[in-house]
Amino acid sequence: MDHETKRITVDTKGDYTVMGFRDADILDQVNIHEMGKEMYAVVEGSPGIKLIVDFDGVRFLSSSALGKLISLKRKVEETSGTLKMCRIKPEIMEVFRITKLDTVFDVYPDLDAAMA
Amino acid sequence: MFVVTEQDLQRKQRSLSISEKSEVPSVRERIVSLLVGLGYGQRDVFAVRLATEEALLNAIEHGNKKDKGKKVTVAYALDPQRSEITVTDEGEGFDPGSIPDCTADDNLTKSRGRGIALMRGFMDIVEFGEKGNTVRLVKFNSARGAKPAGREEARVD
Repeated sequence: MDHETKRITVDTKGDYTVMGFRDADILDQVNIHEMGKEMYAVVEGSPGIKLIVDFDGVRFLSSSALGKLISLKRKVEETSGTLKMCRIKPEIMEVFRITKLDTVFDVYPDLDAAMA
Repeated sequence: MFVVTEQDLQRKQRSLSISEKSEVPSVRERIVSLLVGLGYGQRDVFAVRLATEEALLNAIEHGNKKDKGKKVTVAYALDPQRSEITVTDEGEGFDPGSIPDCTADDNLTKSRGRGIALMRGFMDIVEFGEKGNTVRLVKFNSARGAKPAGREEARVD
């Protein structure tokens, strides 16, 4: 079953829940707050979720968005779920590298690699 | 004392002030559109956009403590070689050296505290004024091969 929310998309592929972004820029504070709430709602309703966050189409994100992703990972792992990320553009990958969050998140080049 | 050069005169120089988070996007995107017009590449524009966002939010949130009666002044001077943005709030200032290293093991998964690290990571020069309520951000246009002519030590006061 697929369903869409205001800031994210949620799709099911096999055992995985694939979360995408409706905004190319994950930037403005109000949008990031909404995004966090929507992400947490998906995870809180699915203990043990196998989640892939797909950054396809995302061209920008700020440090506030990083905070939401970290909280998301924490919530996933609290119920023994897993979180992977894929299709992150080079500039955004640099954001992860500078903050060393590339060592915290499992990042894959594409969706097939994340689901393998 | 500042000496105004011909290059200074050719720069797009502006100064404006904001008080609320909701005003951040318009300032940030105005600077971004000027940089695109000046021929900056995607990576440089990304860097300035991110650093400006982080500096403005820090100034409103941590500097002015979200007090809408206080202003954040944004001064920018942009030319095809070099972009400089100075953000000043009306807060008490802070010691940048007191900010915990967000890449330390103990801080790695904290949900906040990465703005300054991102500014430093993406910009060529990041300097805080003595009081700590001013930050000066400089990015050289890498598409034009512009490089810093030695380390700039100009103090922001």
